Amino acid sequence: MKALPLLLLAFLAAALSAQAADPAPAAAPSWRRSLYALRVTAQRYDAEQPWKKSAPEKRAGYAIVISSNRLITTDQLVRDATLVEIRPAGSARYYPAAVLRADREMNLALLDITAATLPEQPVPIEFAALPFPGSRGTFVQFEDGGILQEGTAQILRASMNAPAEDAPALLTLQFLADIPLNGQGLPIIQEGRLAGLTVSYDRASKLGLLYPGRVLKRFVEDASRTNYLGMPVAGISWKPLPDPAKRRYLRAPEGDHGVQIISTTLGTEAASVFLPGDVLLTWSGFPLDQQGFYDDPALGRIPFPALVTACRPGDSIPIAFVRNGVETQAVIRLAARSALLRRVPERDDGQAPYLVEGGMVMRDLSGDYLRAEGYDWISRANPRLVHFYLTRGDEEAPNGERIPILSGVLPDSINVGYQDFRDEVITSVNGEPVQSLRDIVRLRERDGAITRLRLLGRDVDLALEAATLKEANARIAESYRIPTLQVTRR
Amino acid sequence: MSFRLFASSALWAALAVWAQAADFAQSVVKITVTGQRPDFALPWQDTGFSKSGGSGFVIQEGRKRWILTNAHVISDARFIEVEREGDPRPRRAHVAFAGHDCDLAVLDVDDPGFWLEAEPLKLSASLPSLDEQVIVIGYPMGGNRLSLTRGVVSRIDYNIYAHTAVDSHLVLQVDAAINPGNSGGPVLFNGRIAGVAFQGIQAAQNIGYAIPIPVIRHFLDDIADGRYDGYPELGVDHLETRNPALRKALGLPPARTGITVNRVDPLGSAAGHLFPGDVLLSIDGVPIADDGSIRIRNVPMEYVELLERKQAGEGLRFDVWRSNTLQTVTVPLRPPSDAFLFRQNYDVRPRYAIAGGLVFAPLTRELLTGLAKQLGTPDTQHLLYDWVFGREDALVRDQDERVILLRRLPHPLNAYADAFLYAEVAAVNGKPIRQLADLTAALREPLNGFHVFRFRHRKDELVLDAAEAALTEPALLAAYGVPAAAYTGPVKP
Repeated sequence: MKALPLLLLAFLAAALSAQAADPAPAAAPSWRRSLYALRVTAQRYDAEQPWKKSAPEKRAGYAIVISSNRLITTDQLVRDATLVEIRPAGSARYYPAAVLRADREMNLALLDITAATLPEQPVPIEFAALPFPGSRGTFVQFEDGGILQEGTAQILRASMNAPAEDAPALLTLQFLADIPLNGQGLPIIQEGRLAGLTVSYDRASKLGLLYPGRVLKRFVEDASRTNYLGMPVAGISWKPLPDPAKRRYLRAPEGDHGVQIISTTLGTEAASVFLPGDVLLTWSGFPLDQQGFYDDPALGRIPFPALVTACRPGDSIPIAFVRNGVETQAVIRLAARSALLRRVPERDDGQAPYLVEGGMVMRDLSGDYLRAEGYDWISRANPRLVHFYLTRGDEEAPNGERIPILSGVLPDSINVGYQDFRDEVITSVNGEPVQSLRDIVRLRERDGAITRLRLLGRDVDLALEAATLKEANARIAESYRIPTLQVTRR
Repeated sequence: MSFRLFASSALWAALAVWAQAADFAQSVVKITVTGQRPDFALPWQDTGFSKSGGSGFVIQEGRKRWILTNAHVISDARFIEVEREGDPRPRRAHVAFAGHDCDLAVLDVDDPGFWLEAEPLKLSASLPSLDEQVIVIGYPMGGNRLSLTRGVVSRIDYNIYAHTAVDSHLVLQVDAAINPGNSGGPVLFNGRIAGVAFQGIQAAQNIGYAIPIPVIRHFLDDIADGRYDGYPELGVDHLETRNPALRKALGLPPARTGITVNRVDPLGSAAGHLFPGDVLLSIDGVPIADDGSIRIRNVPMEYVELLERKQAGEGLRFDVWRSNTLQTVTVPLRPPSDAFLFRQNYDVRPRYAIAGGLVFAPLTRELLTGLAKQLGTPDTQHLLYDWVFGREDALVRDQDERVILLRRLPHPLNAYADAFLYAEVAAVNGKPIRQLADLTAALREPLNGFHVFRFRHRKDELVLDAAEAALTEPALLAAYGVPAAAYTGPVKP
């Protein structure tokens, strides 16, 4: 019964694809009021000394008008921004903009502008339907002096790509540009509509990735809501299942479909439905092959997480799976990624909470803390902390459990003998077990001071002199120019 | 005038050196070694042959004469010859004892005639002091004539012995040139052995290292019973007791000094004798300072210096401040037995086991260094963690060694196993794996016709069809030139 509509869709897709293969339509002149150059000044907090900010850095890219006072761009451009400015085409003047919503996992941001201050009224672009692989679009960028320049991008294929190493994969389209792109956040136009936004580009190969209009549209709709939930999550980790021996062992059905469930995320509905070793056969009615791909009517063969990210948190998804040779149908509701409480949060989201007591700098472990070591952080950062991040990072943390660490010691007479400790996991404070910086702060408030600190793998407390602690804290704050010795979660 | 005077001095110095070199020609030998390292990545076979050389010298212990040299000169040797300067007859030698942890070895020479012409060098009773002159003798860079260089002692300190990459002992730093080939040669002070030349620093000029007399003495005393036990490990991690709040928390009286036991290694000698929170006040009657140093004859050194002088089987006496009382604790020193120190291995036959073309082997330093480039990936990061923190985080509790999936010998049977490469085996067919022998035993009992491998830090399982694995094994081993499906015998061949 499903075969006929799918055939029709495929025919339609082929027809559209053939149509789009014609020379790209020229960009309409109104793009000059829809595309703005973006200039961002950003400043990050120092991971090791979280009371400090790094030197301001400049970023440049583009933002596109999607309503009278809203622009869309990438999160990467506006992350940790202290000042966001836009410049219209043909102008040398910059105008202020504000970040209304930024989603680091999606790498998208919504900007707010005061249209009245601009020399010309901005013209919004409507979202296009999903661009088909094989079709072409026009991209628009500024040349020197703010003159608009147009190029052609050929859409090559759809795939799932993570915008950052700490983010889930999203639907992206790969494109090939005829002239070099000079910034991120450029619009790809098809038939006068916004078909995509460029998120990465390699000058050598002229290949890049764009988010299709449907991803942008979803973000804009959600970002305008007060209760922004962000990306949905299925709550499963899975693996392809091509191994015949493994298929027999798991009693997977004959044939070439189904993937293996490896684990589930506690706190999601998937955790109450699946067991490790289940074989997931269909998702949202689409049969999955051994690699986890399905046949998308518009995009062709693509990994099934594209179906997950196309939904919203709270959406119910029909699924079928096999356990011990028996097929079962079920419905699971997608959770919001932002609602899942990880033991090791990926991001500090601005200034990380910290506490400095007797020169001991304490904070919770985060992905950002480790990644501050640079691109090869996995081998450069403390192996124990990296291991905890990799193996315990997604542990359930319903009560805000974290991995509290002693990130370093600011040398002072009060902490002689301890000054070489850094990147140690704190297990107890003042004789009580702790599971987060919040616990440590609570004990400090209860006892008035931290006088004993136990580190993982060491069986003796580091002691601090209670009588001189207050005086030492003042001395350390002044000596190391720390504006406040404690910052807790906002 | 000044030139002539200089020439005259130089001539006398040269003659003196020549005379000394002639004295030692009967005692110092050139050692030529044909060696072959096992291939830890393909553990059923060896790597290519290598030819190398070093120096050695004759010593006498009681009535027995040996050639003393470095362990690294003769490690993994297949054939050893020694020759004296000017003697056209190289003699076949073999290793009598090797102490890889202290990089020393003694050789026996098969030809009794060799010893008749040999003049043993005498060991110095004490270490030379700083700035005292020493002479380094040997066959650097493979020459056939003895080389003799002079220098002074520039430092006496603890340092890593590169041969195992793990052990630290006392070293004698000299400013005389020590080059490849000098290894194993004597460093003389007042005509007696003060050390054995053994390593240098490539990037530094005029820095060479010798194994000093206390370490040589320790090695020779150790082998006196016909077996080399090695340096015992105390297994104590300590905290300096400088912090006033820490001292107060420990109840340590102001006049007392010492170090605080921070952690006791379950595999060390101190386990069950010393405990976290103990303050070690003295070692064998010598007071320990708050930073862990001691003074012997007014010379400052680390407290482990006294441990270094002990043999396995002896005791080490500590005055301990424990629970606000002074106690005396004697720690019986055990022979070292710790698979998790990851020393460089020598003279070993690597063990392995193959199932369905999957090669399992105990994790060694050689494998870890071979994987160094991959240790920065999430799939292998756990090896780095276990290596560095395995002892502190008690990961060694349930294992005698770490068994990893080392390699896949490609076959359709194991086509999907690459994702598990370098993972540590936790259980096979439901049986926990403490050591490689457990794995081969577990393979005899498949689960419902499958071999099921579970790995540490992995949620997924690796599955092999047991019957198919058994059926394909002979052809698979033959195709890859593997002589046997497993070697789980003794490490020492």
